[in-house]
Amino acid sequence: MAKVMMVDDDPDFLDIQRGVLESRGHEVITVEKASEAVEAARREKPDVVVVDLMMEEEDAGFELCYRFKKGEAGFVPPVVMVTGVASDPGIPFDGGADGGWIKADAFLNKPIRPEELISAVERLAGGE
Amino acid sequence: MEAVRILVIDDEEGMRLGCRKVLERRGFEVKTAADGAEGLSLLRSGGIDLALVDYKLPDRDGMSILDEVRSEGLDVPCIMITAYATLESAVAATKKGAYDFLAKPFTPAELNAAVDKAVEYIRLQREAKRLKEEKKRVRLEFVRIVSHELKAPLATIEGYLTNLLEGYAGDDPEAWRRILERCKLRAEGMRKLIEDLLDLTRIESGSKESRPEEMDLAALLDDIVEVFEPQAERKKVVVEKEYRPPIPMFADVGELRIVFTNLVSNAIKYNREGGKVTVKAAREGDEVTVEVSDTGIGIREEDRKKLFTEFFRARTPETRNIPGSGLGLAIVRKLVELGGGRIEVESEYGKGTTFRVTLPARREG
Repeated sequence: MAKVMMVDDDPDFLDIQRGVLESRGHEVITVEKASEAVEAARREKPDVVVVDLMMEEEDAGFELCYRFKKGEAGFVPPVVMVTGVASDPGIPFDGGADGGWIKADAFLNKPIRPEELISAVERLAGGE
Repeated sequence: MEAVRILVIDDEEGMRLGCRKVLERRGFEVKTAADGAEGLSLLRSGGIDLALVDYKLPDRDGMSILDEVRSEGLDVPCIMITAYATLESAVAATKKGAYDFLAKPFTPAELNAAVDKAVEYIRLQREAKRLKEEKKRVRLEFVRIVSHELKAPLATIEGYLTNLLEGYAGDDPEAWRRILERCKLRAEGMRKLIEDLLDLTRIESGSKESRPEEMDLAALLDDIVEVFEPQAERKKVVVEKEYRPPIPMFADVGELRIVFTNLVSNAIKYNREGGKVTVKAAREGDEVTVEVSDTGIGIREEDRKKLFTEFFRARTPETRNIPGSGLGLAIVRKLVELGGGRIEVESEYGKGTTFRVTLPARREG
């Protein structure tokens, strides 16, 4: 069982993914504002963080991921990045294609299949 | 407009120098060629906007340059320079796509006049091209936004349904019910968006025919306020009416209904709980003014300018959970303008907003 923090400004998206992860017995914390995510993580110490790339400001997700990877939450959590842009222009979007400069541990394209989310989260949570 | 680059193809050196001198003084960029081969190679290399071509060149007929320009799809208007301006040669050259003629000998004034005419033509061509590209860009952007706006709720509905169907939603009937209600809400949002898009398209294509008739604006406003009563009650918003019936108008009832429905709906939606909406209306002379005011969240200065732009939605912490297509006010403005009126907005962020619509009491034609 893992503690998963999800950051997305769409409450429905959070609600849907919460259902998926909770059905597997994981604990889910949701944060709707990118600006509050680092503080929340410092407090909650999640095993995995799931971040949506496209929040309020267009680069809020990138920025947030970078801050997590710099250790601003007091530790460096594994990060799953979720994006809806990849499928739009047909760009293959993953850690390899972007040269690894976005330091995320996994990428998921929206719409996310439940089993994809589960497998990414469980792999990273158990991977330390 | 960017500098116009002119190519002079003539075997007489005096001619080339003379044209260069006259045209450079006018700020044009001038290149010259002494024969057809050199001229064509300059034309092919691009960067030429207008060519002056002598009829008789040492290596080829000037007319054949017109043929090449046309067959190679070079987008360069040509002015033919001719020593014998006969009607036949003029007709022949025009058939081959010459833009104009200059008969030798010509004065600097005649040269300038011919070039100015051509430059105006080039300017119009460029403008038309720019507009066409702009139109294409706007259309693509529109399609992109519409697709996104339709995809987002669809993805939510799909996600929820997947959870229900694949056992990620637990087995509490209350939880299921809540999920289905979210789905319904998002589906309603999509339907509203599609309806708004159709309204907008009908107005913009001009296919929407206005049918003005004798009507009472007060009765229409009463009707709209009544429809929104339940929604206002849920938000504990009081709607006050400040007008004395009747307010006779000659206008399209359907159009006005869309206008004031949008404004009243917004005034409730973007209000605070326990707030107030005031609908004022009065006829003064030939004009009717309607004001819809709220005590809501207000609109920030920077958002006010973009308010009537399609798909624009003010993004503040307060508006985040208020559903909307972003098309309502765009439609309102188009309809008000179609009816010969105008719309103004006054707002203070955090205090409230007033929309004022002024319309002719009797719509023409």
